[in-house]
Amino acid sequence: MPETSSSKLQTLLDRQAIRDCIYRYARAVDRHDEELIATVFHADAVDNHGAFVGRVPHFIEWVNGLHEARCISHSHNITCHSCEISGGVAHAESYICWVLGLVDGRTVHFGSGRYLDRLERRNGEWRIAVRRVVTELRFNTDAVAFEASERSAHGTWDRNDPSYQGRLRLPARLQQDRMAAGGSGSPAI
Amino acid sequence: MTESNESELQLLLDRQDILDCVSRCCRGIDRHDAALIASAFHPDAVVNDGDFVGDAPEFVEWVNKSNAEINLAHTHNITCHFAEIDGDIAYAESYQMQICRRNDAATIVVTGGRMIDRFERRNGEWKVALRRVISDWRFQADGSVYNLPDGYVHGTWDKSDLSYQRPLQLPANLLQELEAKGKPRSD
Repeated sequence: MPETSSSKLQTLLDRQAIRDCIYRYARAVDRHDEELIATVFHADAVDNHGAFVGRVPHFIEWVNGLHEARCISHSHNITCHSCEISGGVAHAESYICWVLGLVDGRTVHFGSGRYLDRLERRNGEWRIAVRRVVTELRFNTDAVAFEASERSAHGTWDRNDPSYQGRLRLPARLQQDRMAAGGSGSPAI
Repeated sequence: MTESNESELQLLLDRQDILDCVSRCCRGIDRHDAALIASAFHPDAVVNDGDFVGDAPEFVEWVNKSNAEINLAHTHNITCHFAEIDGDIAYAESYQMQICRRNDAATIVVTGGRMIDRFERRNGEWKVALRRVISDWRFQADGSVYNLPDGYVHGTWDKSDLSYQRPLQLPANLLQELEAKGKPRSD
């Protein structure tokens, strides 16, 4: 049966929803946001990360605990993403580069691998039902210390992170600095 | 749907098809899947990657052979991707970080660059007609930490790679472990 415009549009919407779910995972673990991590998985989902296998509550405890114990900072970067959808089931492969600033303050650990996900659409929502992580390589390298000044935006492991600020604004002090330097002083910025 | 909606929908579909094609090629290279790599190119496509210049079938053979000669594992990671479409021709630029674990099991080489592609849509399918690969930077690092057991499934260069499994599911031993944790079984 030839695809209609409507079904093609639905496919694009599904692809976007699935990508958003997987990107949301990266954001949620990088912010240690338990509530947000839970939204990525179905309630009965299972996650296998190396030696860890467990359901969502155990996974959240494990992943946040691991990052807190080992890292002072981290980012999870999704690169290549492919996805096959068949009805209400999707298989996705998302390349992941995870970068960890370790607690010793001297080492950055970099790993490259893939998230393999089976997602299911239930009640119109795509979430992960099964995730298995495959690794290809890792390396350690020297951290370069950078002094984040008072003017820099700081990442945090809670909802004080600037990414949660709905309408992004410059902090008052930086706004004052701009105006003092002859900036436009537009309040929307 | 109005005519303008239809053309907007088609643009989104074309952009997705082009990005999927670039991603498919990376996946094919990383799995040493000749058919998958070939599926990203028109049969008469030409590829220039470093010193290599040749047609698509030659590229498929060369890329798998040269990776097998010098690497134990590799990932081709696309970050920024752009495509400008003009009728049945598109020009795409895809930023790439190629990360390779050399066969000494210690050296990691990371190369940042860009794939510049001329795509052509023939018979409704977008594929690469001409590719030139640019390298912009490179660094080396010590990857020997990977030789310590990490408990993870590792990638393979054949169809036994977990990414081919349909449906994706936990193996029996992990399901048993889950059960032992006292939770209801699924899958």
